Amino acid sequence: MDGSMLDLSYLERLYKGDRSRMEQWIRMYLEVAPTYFAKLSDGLESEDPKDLAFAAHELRPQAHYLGAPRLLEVLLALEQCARTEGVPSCRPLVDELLALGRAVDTELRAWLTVG
Amino acid sequence: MIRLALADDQLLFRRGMAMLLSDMAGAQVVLECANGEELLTSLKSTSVDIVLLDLEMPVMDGMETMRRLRLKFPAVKVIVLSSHDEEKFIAHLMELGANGYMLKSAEPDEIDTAIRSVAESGYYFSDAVSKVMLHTLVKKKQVKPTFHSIDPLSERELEVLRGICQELTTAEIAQRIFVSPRTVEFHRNNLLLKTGARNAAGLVVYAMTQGLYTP
Repeated sequence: MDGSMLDLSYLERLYKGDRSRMEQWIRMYLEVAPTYFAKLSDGLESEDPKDLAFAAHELRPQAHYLGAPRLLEVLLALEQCARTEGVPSCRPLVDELLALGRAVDTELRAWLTVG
Repeated sequence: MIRLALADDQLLFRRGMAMLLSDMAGAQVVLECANGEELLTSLKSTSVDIVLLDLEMPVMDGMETMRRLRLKFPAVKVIVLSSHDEEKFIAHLMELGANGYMLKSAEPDEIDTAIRSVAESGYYFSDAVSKVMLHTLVKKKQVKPTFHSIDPLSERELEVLRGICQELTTAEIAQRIFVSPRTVEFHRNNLLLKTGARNAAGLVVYAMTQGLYTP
């Protein structure tokens, strides 16, 4: 995956290189991820910093599994921002995360296709 | 066979972990729960050796679940699997009686090691967690007064204590000091009585704070 925003080597180690299991996990991610990202938008709308921080926190393991450093970085920043600066300051971070989420989705679907 | 329970509200993480553990020889995931309440209810009818417990869950979070597990199911061992690497979480969970603490970002091999270690010796700490615990204890000076007035530890007890700190199993300690596993258990019980520690985690803390072992 040259030039990719993802590094699936952790997932590969996790499932000992078994591509079918990696595919199974990625398909699960693609199914569930929209719910996680929707929670970010919901947190912004509800203006509850706890909701927003929790939504960001929930996505962290996935970002790690996917080897997505920028996604992880922004999630950490959002969690911190929600807890210390309040919801309004978090909007740019949520926007970036939603864009990153879409990019990850596209890249994973391409990975599945290349199979 | 090590019977495992997974308690995590994140379906993706839970399924991913169950998929990983399905490959682990000698272990089986017998329970998957989305929160602490579900776990405690299920444990009434399903026998489990080790729970892999998330901290942030709806309905009943990991902290409360940990407290109740210790009261209602003291024999069940608990490995906390969390995204939090802050001292306050790690130290508090260990104080509540967790047998191990791991980050969700742990390498796959470490998960296997932790489960086997907790099953065999009753605890698992990564180097990072050990350091956090030591730092917290030293900072807060939480060493129990009884530690200073206990009966002196025998040479054999010290050998067993160091083995525990090095995450050796009972069998490995026995082999190292040329005694039977039963004798190791005997010394381990004496260590618990003498130090006032409640479990192996407490023994490690004791050894580290008393300068009997340095990681």
